[in-house]
Amino acid sequence: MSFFPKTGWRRGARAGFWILISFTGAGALGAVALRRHEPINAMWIIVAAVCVYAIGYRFYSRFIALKVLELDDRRATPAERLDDGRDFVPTNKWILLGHHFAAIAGPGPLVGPTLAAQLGYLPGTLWLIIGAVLGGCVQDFVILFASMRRNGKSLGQIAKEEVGPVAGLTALCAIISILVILLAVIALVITNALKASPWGTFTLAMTIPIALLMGIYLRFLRPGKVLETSVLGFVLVMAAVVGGQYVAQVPWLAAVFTFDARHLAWMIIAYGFAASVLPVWLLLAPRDYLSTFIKLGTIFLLALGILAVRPTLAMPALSRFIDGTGPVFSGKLFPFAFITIACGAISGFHALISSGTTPKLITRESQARLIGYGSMLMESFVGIMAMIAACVLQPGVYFAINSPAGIVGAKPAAASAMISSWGYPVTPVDMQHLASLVGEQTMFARTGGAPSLAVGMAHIFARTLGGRTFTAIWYHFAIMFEALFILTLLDAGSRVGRFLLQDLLGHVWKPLARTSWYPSVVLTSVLIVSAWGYFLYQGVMDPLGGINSLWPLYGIANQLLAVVALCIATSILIKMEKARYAWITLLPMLWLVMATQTAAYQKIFYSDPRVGFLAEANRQSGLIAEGKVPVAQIPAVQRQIFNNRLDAAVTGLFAVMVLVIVVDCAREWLAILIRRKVPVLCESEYRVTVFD
Amino acid sequence: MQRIKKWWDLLGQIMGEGEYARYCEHLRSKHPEMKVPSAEEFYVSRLNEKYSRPNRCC
Repeated sequence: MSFFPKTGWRRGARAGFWILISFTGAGALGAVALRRHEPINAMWIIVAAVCVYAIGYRFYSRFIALKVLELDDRRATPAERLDDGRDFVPTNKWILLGHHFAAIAGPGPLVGPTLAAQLGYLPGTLWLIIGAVLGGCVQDFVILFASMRRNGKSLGQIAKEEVGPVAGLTALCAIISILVILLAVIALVITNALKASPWGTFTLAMTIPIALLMGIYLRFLRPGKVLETSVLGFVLVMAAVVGGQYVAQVPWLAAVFTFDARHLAWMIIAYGFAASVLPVWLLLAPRDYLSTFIKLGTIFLLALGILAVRPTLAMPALSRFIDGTGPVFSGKLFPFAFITIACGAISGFHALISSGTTPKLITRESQARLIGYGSMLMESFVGIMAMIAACVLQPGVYFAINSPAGIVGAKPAAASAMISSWGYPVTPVDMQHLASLVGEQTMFARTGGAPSLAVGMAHIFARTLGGRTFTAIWYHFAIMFEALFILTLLDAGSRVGRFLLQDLLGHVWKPLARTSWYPSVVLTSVLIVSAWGYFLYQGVMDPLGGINSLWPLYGIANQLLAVVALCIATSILIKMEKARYAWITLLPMLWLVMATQTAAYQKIFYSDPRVGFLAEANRQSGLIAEGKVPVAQIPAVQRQIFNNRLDAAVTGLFAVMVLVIVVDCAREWLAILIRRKVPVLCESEYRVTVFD
Repeated sequence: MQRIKKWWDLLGQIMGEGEYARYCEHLRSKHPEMKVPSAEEFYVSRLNEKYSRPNRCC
């Protein structure tokens, strides 16, 4: 603001600018929250979000950086002290921001808000904005800081050193079990998106040979030329997206690529195993490059598309399903809205990334603010865009896509009638029209969030570029985009799970920890893949489509990991003698403890069988006892009973593991606060930087 | 054109290009006695490190 000559003027102008932002943000937020009887434009949400982010970044993250963490630019970072040209490298902050954002942004912030749209746009939007600014960004920032002060140690190691061995071991177990549920659920999302869809299946199948080709090119022809290879791969993938249309039109080809959910699940399980044991350069890495490239590009395009189209939201602010009877997931607004949207508001998984590669690359301590807090704001914005894309659909269409056949019925006429009776009119003709527009056989009961998000994205893209004739291409582009990075996450996750499991089993028998010992590699891969494969298969066989029961389980798991991260962060703040500021992590932690423990309790014990796992198991065994189940179906129902009890047990296990960590930490806090124990921080040495 | 090149390079850096050049530079300046690996060796060993810890999120 150089056009204001005097310092006083400049300060005044700056203050004026931030007051303006505050008023704009408050006005937009007010409009989003209070306008009830007329549809609002998506721009209100965008403006509200951006203003709140700006204020949160400018004031709250600055307060955390200066007062709480006291970031010190004279202190040399691990990247400087331990510079080895490989893992520890001082990196430009903007490159690192992109790198970190690409690592944290996955399918979560796209799928979660899409499912939460069943409550209306308001609850999810507010939670995405407020949860990120006060919770998610703080978690990512503080954990990144903590790891940076400890030479880039992982969350598990930090827990062990700063809290104790019990918390350390529990954290490691929690991370592995949460990973398993996460992988199962996202695998279920793509299974549901691809079943009976030859076009989508063909496109995704083609990404495998394309990735192999890229892998060979990257290793032997142009080692390390990542960007040009990704562009090449992208062109091939686009050809596959377009080619899929012809595959779907030729009957015998369409038959080759048409699978039911069960077969798809088996193929995905086999793929996950292969990717976990094959050399990384051949399949996993090229696929990851391709997905990163397409991910960054598509998110950017979606932002441009929304700004260009400025769509009106068809979904009401609050739907009737805030009472807990919704078809997409069951359960009341509190706690389930906060469980359904994890990534985008606050995601425990980010703590693993923030304590991984990124802290080893930061040049100066103060940059942790941009990279930790800033990249989570970007992720929250991705969640907002997904919410908008889901809410531009007519509510009737949204519910027709996302309601499982087990609730609304498998026949189009019956399903439409039921959804219309909820007050969200839709007809079989509308849905048939939509299906032919996007090149699918049916759009009824395509649960999991991915198809309805793809319809929303296609709607926005087609209005910017290409018109209606391109809707089908855009739809399948969006499906490919989601499926591609879900599959990448499956490979990478299975592999990481294998390493974590080897680490854990190494405590039992040393040789199992050797990552190059083949028997151990195969054994742990089989264990991890069959663990998530089991839950995936269970979801596929579930009459309610699986998402209904498994997504809340995943949300609980992810949020519990956030509780663990925030708990460790609070311990560190207290040990830094910053107890008076410990509320910055303690308050979001308490909120999440309330939300997750309530959700876990309800998922296990609630008397309504649509919410409680045990109630559902009891209802089903009652049906068998009363002889209401045909003899041929008894084994299937018994399996469902077992799975419901298993899900209840897993939920209980998560809740207990987290309580162990919280109690272990709280004991430590108390001991320090009543001065029975002298706090010893395990930070790495202080050395003054040589950078100017 | 210049600007496109700049954005292209930035995107490349975000995706991990230039790691090999940086490593060679590091070896030359800090450890001149050590053997510089070939681009292919470096690329493969680097990937094995990268994908053995959580590097992608939901």
